[in-house]
Amino acid sequence: MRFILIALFSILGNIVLAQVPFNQVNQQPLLMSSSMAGAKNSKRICLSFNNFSGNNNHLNIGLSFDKMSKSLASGIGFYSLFSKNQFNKMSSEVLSNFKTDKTYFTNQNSIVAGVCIAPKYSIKSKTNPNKNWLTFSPSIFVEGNVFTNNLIANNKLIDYNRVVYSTQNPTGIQQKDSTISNYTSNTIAEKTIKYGLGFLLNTDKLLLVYKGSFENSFINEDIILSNYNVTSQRFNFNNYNQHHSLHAIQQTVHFGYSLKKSEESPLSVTPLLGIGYKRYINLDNSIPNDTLIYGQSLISKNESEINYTHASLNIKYAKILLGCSYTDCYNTSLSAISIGYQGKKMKTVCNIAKTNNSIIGFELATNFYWN
Amino acid sequence: MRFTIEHIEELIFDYHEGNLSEAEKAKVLNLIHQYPEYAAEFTLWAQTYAHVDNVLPDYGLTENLIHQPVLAVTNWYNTTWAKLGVLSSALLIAVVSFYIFGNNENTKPTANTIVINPVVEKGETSAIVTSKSNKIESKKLVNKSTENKIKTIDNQIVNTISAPLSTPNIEQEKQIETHHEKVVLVPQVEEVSKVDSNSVSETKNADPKAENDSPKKNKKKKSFNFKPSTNFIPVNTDF
Repeated sequence: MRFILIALFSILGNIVLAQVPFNQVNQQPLLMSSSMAGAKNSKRICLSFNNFSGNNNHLNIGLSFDKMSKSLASGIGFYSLFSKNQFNKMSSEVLSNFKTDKTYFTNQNSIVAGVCIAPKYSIKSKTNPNKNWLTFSPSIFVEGNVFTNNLIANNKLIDYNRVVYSTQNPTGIQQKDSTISNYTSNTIAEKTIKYGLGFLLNTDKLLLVYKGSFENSFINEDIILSNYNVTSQRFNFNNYNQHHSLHAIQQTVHFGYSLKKSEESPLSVTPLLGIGYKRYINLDNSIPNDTLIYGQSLISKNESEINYTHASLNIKYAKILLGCSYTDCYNTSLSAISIGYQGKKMKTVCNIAKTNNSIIGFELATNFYWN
Repeated sequence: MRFTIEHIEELIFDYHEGNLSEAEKAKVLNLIHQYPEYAAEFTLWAQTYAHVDNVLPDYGLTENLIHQPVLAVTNWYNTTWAKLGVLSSALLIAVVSFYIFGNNENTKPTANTIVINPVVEKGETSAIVTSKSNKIESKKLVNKSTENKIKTIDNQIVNTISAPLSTPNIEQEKQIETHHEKVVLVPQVEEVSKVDSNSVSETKNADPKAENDSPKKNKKKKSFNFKPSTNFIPVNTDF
């Protein structure tokens, strides 16, 4: 008996796993790169919050603290990120594609926490040895992530061999009551440990940051297939369990430059570009046997992909900030306009963003500085 | 079962229920071909299925299907990569501890020690001892009585100018000359950038002999210092 498998569209690789799930990426500097710790030469607290509501709900909260330690001549920092995503799509249609987005309900939660240290080095100018020309800051960081995903889907497996032929329908008619399963439940728990390096190169106008991490993920997935037999009016349940250990390398680069006519000019224009690339080392998301065909934790991942791109343009006049940005994370794009205020001890920016699914969201990011 | 037209309805039912073998199905199709008036009924049977409301039925098991996430993965901490992560964290803590506890010995100036601010100038090396509180005092110290002092400390000839911590004291200078007080190098990062150019030039002019006789192993000006520094360019406030 030949089955055409129907699997669920996996939404595991969405914005919750993005490096920086905020439009104003520079408002969470430690998520950009661990080398940004202490880069302002002052103590800093960063708070970021965004929420997208609609048929799907997305919530991200970021918190970080960093300071410059004079005794160590290094920046030290701590950061955390909490993400929550809910996808609500209901369908009673017959699913005939291998991948589809007809899910019933998905609930995701993710918690990230990390620490970093970034010593600062100065490169002197050749013409004036008393003047710093460039600051170079390597860094190391350790980060942990716990991710859970609960998914229930209206997933029907149909035996397409049950075709009835007749004189009026010589090509055959598919019988629609040959249902193998009605519901699929996937519960995924993923623990990830990241450790890596960061680099920072900056002048008084230039900013170039890099973050490279090696990730080690431990995944446990429970799968339940339920089948409701109309004739017998009984449920049949089939349980599966999978364990995986994945290794990946993630690299992210951001480049920015502050354009200003003169030091006294109140107007400055700051473009910022970013790109991220991820590659799994030992991912094999082919389907070798019947057990894995129901799983989501592997088929949701691509072996290598550019999983993050960002472009933003911020304009500052005196203390007023205006800007626009575009961020693409795992094929979910965010377009935003922003307005904010920047003082000596505080910088706050508000964003109104729209996803590629036409969901409107709000983002607020605030930084506090003090010595 | 007899494949006759009298049993056509029963045969059609069994056909769609899957109770017939392939050969028997072929017989049924042949029978319908012989009696075309039953083709419509056969087609209707093919399109008949259990009616289910378009509304997704609630089987009452939705909540039961949600399992609590299994957060404990068996023996993940025994893997090589977990151990490597623990080792990296321990190494990070050791490096931080070294910086905190390992570089503070013998660097704090005591009451009888001379504080020397190293100033690296282009092409040569000289040392200026300045008082933290009073630059004028340091200028006074750059005088004729001290300009010819040349000491050898650890086989390095440096220009030394005695700098008392409070007020200029000639007796202290004499003690320093005779007893060779310990000279301690304390990096005064803040002072380095604020070194008065006049004092630097005076130092140069004050002791030209020392400059001429300074060892030829003057260190070449380094553009990159491998020691981290708090004197760096902060990231632009626009970012």
